Amino acid sequence: MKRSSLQALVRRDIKEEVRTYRLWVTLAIFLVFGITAPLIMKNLPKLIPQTEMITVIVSEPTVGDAASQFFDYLLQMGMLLMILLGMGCVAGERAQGVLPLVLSKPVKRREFLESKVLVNGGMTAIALALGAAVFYGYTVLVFEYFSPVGVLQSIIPAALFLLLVLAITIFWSVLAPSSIAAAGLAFLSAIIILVVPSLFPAIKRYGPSYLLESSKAIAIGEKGLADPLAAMLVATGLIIILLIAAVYLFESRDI
Amino acid sequence: MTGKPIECVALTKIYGDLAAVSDLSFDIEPGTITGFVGHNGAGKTTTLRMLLGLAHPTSGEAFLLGKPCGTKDRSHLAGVGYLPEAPAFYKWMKPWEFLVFVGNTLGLDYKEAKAKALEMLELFGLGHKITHRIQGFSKGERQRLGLAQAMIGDPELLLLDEPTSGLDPIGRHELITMISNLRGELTIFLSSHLLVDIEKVCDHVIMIRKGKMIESGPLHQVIDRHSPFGFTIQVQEGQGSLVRALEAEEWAGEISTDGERVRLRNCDVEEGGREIPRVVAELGLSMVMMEMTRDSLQEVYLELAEEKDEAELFTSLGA
Repeated sequence: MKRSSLQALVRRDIKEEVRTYRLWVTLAIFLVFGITAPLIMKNLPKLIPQTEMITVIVSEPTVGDAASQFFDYLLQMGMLLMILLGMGCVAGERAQGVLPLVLSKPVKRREFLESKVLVNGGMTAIALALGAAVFYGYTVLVFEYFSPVGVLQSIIPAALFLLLVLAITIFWSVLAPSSIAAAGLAFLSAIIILVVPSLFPAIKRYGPSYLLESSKAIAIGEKGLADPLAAMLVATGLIIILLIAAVYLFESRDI
Repeated sequence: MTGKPIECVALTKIYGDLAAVSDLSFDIEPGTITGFVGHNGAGKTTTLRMLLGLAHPTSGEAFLLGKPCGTKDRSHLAGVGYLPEAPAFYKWMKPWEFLVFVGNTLGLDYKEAKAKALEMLELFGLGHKITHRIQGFSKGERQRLGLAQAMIGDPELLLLDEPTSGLDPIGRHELITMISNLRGELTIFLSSHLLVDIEKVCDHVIMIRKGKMIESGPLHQVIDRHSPFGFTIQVQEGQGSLVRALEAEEWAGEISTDGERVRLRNCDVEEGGREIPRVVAELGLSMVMMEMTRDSLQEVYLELAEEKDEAELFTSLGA
């Protein structure tokens, strides 16, 4: 069977994720999120030192606290991980000098980016699903049984948040002269789009930070998937716009 | 194949105030090995990048295998092999894996691509490196792998950008031999500032300077046009008196010395052939050798570039 260029690129990108251990590290990080969030919250009262002078009163941890911890990990560490994954997508290959050789073949630049998005996005989605499954299992184990439906649903807004950060990073990777510059610009852009909507109550529900805030409530069944619908639509729109802009800029630039 | 392997029409690329390539027009014939000659920064790599759609021309057009360059339709690039000046690869890959990847981008399935990859590695002397990571390859090995990836799709046209640059003499010789061995199988466009290599392997030449073409044509015709035959003479002793005697002869043209040898350029070849032995005999000198010689391609290029410099200087002073 004849292969398309996209198939060849996807196959190569998957191989790279495996060979350079990025796949395993990503999976491990999400597994650690899933395991440590319920464990840390369950043991929090024991972890806070009590002295004769000061008594710290810690309320009994709940499933909600564990969910809150898991999604906080995604906000902080997950965002950094997406930046690390996306920063070298174009800038890294350009710096290595491989890009001209690959693009001298019958490979469309759009396909090159599609492959990066598919592989990195797919890897993130799998890792997140695995992390959420482990989170659910450990939470049930150390706390109490609760319905898995909420956790399943919470994956969608959380995945959109991570994919948005990945799309921002890939966009900057096309434009920036180096991977480090792409990472810096992506970090700055992500902070801006996270913080700015939070400052204005009228648009807070549309901002990307609301995706994770809502995910916490969805995971424990307090809210439904309809709650962050507006934020999910905005995030999806932003992802599409960023990727289209990245393709357009990539095609119009000299390599 | 439809159309010429390469065709450029008034191709221009401007970066800020600098015209890297200016109004460049040429085409090449199928089956030829054409040398694309110029000093560093003359615009050779920029031209190749525009041909491959890696850079966008400021104006003008270029065609590869009859198809316009730089459009979204890149299917014609399956018929083009390209070796960049410093080929870079995915260091975590093994050479056969990289070749399979390239084969896949050209439309070969895994089995076909793997068989072809192993064949190419043997052909380019990398058979013993199949299981090694590319990371540990020497410059010469990377260059050969670069040539292997350029050849894996059985291209109609091979674009080579400074293929021998930075190689040691043995590596250079091996690579030039490999390129020579491809003669007749496909069209080769070889960009280089190493004119000795061009002279060894090419049958056509295009010379550019500051992004503009200064000469082109079949190699022997270019040399004929700018370097008529002359003589190189060596006598046992008395080189000085020979030079003085030749300076008095009208047919002798430009006289120069090169170590122990005396060189005549732009001379009357017929008369020189008759008269030189007479002059040597009259001076009582003993002739070690006398042969008809001509300028090398390098000398022709330098002379043409110098003429252009002078012409530019003259124009700017006149302006």
